[in-house]
Amino acid sequence: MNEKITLYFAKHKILFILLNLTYIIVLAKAFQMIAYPSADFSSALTFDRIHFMLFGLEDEIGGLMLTFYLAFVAIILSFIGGSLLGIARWSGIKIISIPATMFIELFRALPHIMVIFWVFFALPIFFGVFFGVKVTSSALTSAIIAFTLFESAHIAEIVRAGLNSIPKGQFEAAKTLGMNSWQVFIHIILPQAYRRMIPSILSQFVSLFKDTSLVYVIGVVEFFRAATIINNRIYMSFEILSFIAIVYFLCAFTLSKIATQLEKKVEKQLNS
Amino acid sequence: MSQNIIEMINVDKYYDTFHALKDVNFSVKKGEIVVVCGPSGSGKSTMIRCINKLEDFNSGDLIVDGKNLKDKSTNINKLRQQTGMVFQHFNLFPHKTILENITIGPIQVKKMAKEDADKLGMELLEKVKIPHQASKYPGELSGGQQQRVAIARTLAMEPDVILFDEPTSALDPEMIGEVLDVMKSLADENYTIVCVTHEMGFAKEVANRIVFMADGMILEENTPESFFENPKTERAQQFLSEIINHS
Amino acid sequence: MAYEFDWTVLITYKQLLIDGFMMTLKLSIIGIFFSFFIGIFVGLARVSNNFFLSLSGTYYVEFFRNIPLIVQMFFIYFSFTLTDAFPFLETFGNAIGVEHHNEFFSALIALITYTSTYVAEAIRAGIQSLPKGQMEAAKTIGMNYVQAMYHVVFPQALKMVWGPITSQFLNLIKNSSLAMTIGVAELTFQTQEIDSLTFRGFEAATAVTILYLFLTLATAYTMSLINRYALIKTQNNSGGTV
Repeated sequence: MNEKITLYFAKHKILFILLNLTYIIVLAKAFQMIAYPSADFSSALTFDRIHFMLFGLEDEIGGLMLTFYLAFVAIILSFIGGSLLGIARWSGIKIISIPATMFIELFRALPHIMVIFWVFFALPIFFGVFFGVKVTSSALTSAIIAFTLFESAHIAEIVRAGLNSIPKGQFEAAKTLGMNSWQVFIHIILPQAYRRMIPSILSQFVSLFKDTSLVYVIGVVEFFRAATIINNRIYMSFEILSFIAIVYFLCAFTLSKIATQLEKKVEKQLNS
Repeated sequence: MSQNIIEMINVDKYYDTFHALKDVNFSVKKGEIVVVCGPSGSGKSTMIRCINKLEDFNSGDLIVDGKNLKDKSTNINKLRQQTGMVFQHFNLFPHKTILENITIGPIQVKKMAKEDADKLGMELLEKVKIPHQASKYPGELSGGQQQRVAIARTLAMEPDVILFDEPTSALDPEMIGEVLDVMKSLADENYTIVCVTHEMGFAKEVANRIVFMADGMILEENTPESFFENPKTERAQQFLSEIINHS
Repeated sequence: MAYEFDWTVLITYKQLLIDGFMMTLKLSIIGIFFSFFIGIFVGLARVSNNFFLSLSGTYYVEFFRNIPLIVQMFFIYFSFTLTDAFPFLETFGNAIGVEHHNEFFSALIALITYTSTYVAEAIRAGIQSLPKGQMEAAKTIGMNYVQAMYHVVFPQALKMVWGPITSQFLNLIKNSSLAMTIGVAELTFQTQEIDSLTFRGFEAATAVTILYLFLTLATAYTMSLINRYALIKTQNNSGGTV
């Protein structure tokens, strides 16, 4: 019975999506009526407020746009940093692998919100103490630095796992062709390792996207903070927070579906 | 004349659009030993996996020991106690000892007491000639030993019918003999056996009937001597000549 | 201006650290316990043959996974007064020595829903990566779906994904820090508290980091003990048991 249903829906994908949408809308409405009967979405979500939450204020980037900006910049920086750290740790060359390991383990163990706080509050002090330089940090810069710190640690582990997953036979075969270690690494190991890492890195990006909400605590006016600012004025938390929950869900869900599609494409390439 | 314990009537099966079984009519008498052979992809595994409902079929009827598999009231778990299966890849439970692999069925399904089940298990291990392995884990045994344990596991449920799905195909050559010996001893014991295999020597020695399948259809059925000496269809002739050339 | 380290503030304000640690501990232990069992339940639903069950499981996982944890915490805390809707929470809260019930339970529930999705996915991956032959063999000796799951499939799957599940529990401990944003006085909150009282944030952060490390190491160790003594034994490649 269930196999038949699954097969039917695999063929009629549009019908399946419609069924899901109806089911979701029914569930959501039921939830709202039970949990919070007096919800008033239309007065809570005016055009101006939605605009603020999505785009921020007139003269600067904010809201959901800032969320995406922050996520993109952070993932690129942490990809670079994480690759260097991961390769350093994997290399086994003590002088670089030990500091790399210490960094990775420290920033993997710390709660992200703590790192965010401390970059914002401590960085000026840090620079003041050790370099004697007076630095003021903007919240956004601190956010980017903080994200780079802990995301690099996570990506370093993904890189290390990717490198470890290459079978020994690959090294041996390349060496028998006469390549030196450096050439083996660049031409044989790295490309294969990065292809295997793609799914994990993509899912780390979705994770980072969700984590952007944490910069709320240092005042960066991205999507979540924008919503709480509005909520503090109008005190309609159910409506506002439902709205951002749904938008976050749609963005993260779409991103992860795109990631899955990309994964499948890469797998096809690998196997053809 | 003994009753048909397995009766497959006009069975069709599709995997999506692939027609895996085409109007298959297959029956087995109680106590009979049937070998099913044919080129790979011919549907032999699919067919015997329909018998214990590991695969479903699209149309036709399948009656095992008088019970129709399409009937909603048929208790498939109970029916499966009567049909044992030995798999190509053994499928022993790696997290249980050899003895536990054999006794778990009687204890959990037949609600046998542990002491009785253990006694039965040891007897069966003696029968398949590896009693000293009782407290080891499957990973510690060779392929041939694992398959013999798998056979003992099936016997523990006291089935009427034993289905073999290429039981020796995954074994190293030197271990095939020990498994075939166990299977031959079962042939003397009134079990109904349906065996998908490429081991033609086994077929000649023990089978009452050989069924040749290709492309989802049963092309030929005969006694082993007649089949080997006088294959009627061209497909069968081709198949046999390839087997002989390779062995 | 140089920064003068003053580690004595940790002793003066050690009660804050202890309180924060206990709060984090409560969130973590209860959170881990419930996410484990709810995660197993949802994971089993996802792999079940029942279309409705597996669809509901998928809904649960996708919904609670894609919404940031902090948003979930805020949503529960600001939209509802939990103790009005569920009075037993107040009794429970008092029993475990928690004072601000609404904050605590809003954070706890969000932590549980969020983490259970990852546990569910791990369980699902474990069950699906097991060779189909295991379920088939169990069925051929007459076991029904429940027996086959309980005796054969689930034990093996759980063993396989014990590592990933441990990671998720460690994530829960770290994520408990988000509770501070709705006013739960857990460890990270206390870092800020001590800093605002003494301006010795660096020392506070060091102490708190050590405490988090201690908690995560203890949890990882406990999980490995459970692995050794309570889970099934499997062979590693050289024939030894693990």
